[in-house]
Amino acid sequence: MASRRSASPATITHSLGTRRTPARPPSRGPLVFGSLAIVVAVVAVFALIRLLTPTATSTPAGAASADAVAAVTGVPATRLEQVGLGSATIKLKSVPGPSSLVGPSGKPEVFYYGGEYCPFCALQRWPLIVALSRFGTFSNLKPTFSAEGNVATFTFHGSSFTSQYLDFVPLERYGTQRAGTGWAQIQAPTAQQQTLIDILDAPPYSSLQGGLPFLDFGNAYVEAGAAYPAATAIGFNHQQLAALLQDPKSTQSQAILGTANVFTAGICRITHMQPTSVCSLPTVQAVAAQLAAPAPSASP
Amino acid sequence: MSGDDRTLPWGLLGAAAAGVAVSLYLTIAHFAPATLVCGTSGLFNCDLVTTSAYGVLLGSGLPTASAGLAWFGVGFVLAAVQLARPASPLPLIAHRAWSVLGIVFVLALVYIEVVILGAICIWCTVAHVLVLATLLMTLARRTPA
Repeated sequence: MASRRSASPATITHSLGTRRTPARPPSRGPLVFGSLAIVVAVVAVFALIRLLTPTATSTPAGAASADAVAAVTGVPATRLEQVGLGSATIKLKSVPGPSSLVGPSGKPEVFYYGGEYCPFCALQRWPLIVALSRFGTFSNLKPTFSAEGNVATFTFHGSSFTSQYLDFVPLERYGTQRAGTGWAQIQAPTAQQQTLIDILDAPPYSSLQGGLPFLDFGNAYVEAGAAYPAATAIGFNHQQLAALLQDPKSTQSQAILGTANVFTAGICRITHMQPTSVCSLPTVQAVAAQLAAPAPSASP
Repeated sequence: MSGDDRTLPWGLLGAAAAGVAVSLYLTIAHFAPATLVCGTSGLFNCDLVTTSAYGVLLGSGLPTASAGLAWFGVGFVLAAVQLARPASPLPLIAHRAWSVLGIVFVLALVYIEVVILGAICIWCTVAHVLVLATLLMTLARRTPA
């Protein structure tokens, strides 16, 4: 046995007169493409779930709707004072120059530019409604959800606001229906509004030209974007957020009511600190003192 | 060692480096004060995703992007070891296991984006594609004997 030598592959090849290639390992193609197909299929299932699931969670109706509106339009001054600035920071930017913004009835105007699809507009409406409700009365304010992010909010489209101190002019430019890669327009800006947007909803006041949301307090102060993080409101419905606003220490109260106090101070600045029942409150006065005074001719 | 097996570790290294860069950008963006603004095209919304409740790792203040930073960092080391020791099967096997873990995490995040938030973060998607590419490259590379 020891004398027997096994034939080498080369010997076999030679003896058979044919060339043998080394055994090829199995192709890894099926494994790679199979894995890719599985991942793509899982993502497709997610997209399908999204498409088949109604986007908006339960929008409150009837009494629940009225409760949600009452919770945001009737926040007591004592609670707002308890919160103070909360977690809010003063993001209002002063606009230099004398051009004032006056509303349809000749009072200082607060202009809102947003869209119903927009989650950051959804966030911004909560403190804006709280603040404006200290100066006047909303009607036909309807609870809704942003099309992106499902943020519980209210739409200004179809609503009205009356006040003896200011005019509120909301422009909900886009709705919740898709139009191409964007959103269908539901309300067109006037020529004056478009000029205002072109000039003030732009750098250096905003990081994005024409971005949403945009707020203009009498052309004296502007704010672009949401004042607080989306995490504050995402995942909560109107009833839950309304309940959280009852607690001054909740994260939501700290952000929303704190921001409402900042907006209140901005409004007080353009209404000559009227009414005193609102504008003389310690928190409002403290924030107002940090805002640059509007240019003299920007006052009503 | 075939040509593919020589180039794939370099591909893995490149994907990891790109992933570190993207994750670092998202981590910095999380901590930097940024204005939250909607564009009007509405297709992608990084701010909404990164500032949502899912933008931080559960029970911590750490941004989810920091998990990506760690994952790609480890991936970079594993790819480098494969380049240094091409005949050793262990780094590739470890990288495969690491990639499977990564893709499971990615699919969970994609579920949150697509199904829960209804918004896509384009930078996050770049990182997700890099994780998928890493998985496919580790599967494509033959295990050294």
